[in-house]
Amino acid sequence: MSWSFGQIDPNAKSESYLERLLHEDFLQSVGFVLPPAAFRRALQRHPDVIRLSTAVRLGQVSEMMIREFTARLSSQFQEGNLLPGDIAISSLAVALESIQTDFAEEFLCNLARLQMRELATPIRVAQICWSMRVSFPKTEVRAFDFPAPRFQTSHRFSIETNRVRQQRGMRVAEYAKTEPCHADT
Amino acid sequence: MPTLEYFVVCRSVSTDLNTDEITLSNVIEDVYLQDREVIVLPRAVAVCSWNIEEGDSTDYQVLLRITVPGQLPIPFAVNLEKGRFRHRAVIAVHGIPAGIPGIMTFEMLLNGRHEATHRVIVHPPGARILDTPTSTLNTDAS
Repeated sequence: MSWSFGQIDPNAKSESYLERLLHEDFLQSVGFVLPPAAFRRALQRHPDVIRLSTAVRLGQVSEMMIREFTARLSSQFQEGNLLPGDIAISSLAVALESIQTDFAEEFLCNLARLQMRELATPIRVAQICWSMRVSFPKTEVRAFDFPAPRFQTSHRFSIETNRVRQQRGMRVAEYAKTEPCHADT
Repeated sequence: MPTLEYFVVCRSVSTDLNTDEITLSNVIEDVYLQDREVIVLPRAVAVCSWNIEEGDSTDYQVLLRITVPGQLPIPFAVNLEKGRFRHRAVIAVHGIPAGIPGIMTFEMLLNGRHEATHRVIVHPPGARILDTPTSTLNTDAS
């Protein structure tokens, strides 16, 4: 069964979304490791990362699975050498960037705080993901008066509802009843 | 170059302090002139959201240009600050005059380049369509 872009395969095993990040096809499709900001954007567009993010959001990939996956990757750690699964960890950080759970928060925060040369790329990617996660859009608020000649009337809004119109009509009718009728006099 | 995410003109906005999500209330599409009325819109709030690319490092000027039917366009300028990847501009304009029936346009320009237009139809006096009776909105099948 072929996957469409960003769509979850119902028959796929949950582990496959994570294992896919270590697959040779995935590593080749990602290509060269770019600078962290560009690498994050490239991973954001990658179908496997989008599928993983969707699977995490839908609960098909659990927190425990991710913990086991990262523990397995970190077991390959050797001081002075780049971690073999650094692209997978970077992809995981990007996939978790938009997930609003405590675990995603913990994962990104802890990864972004690390200072290890062996994990340079995932750490920088996680730092950018973290900063994007916590940054609110800047809102610029300005108020102006329309630079037109000053008018003496009140700022009453022009739309009147039918009910208001009816009420006003009733008032006018009541007022007309109380008014002295000059024709009779 | 920043790209416009959305642009709309409404009567009021509110912002959630916790999530910073914005709520737009009463989007303006039609206004109705009345006799002896000179202010047609006591307040109009133009809201636009921009995505700023990471490579964009210069300041940008957002210009709201309001054209009331029968009058010259009036510009209102706001600067987008650098250092953010998303940017909203909320521009409130008070006391927009009635002018004459026609199309009132709210144009959004970025560094002088036209990006979007919000059109509001200004109807002549007496053109107001009757309100929909509330009974027709009742979804109760019984």
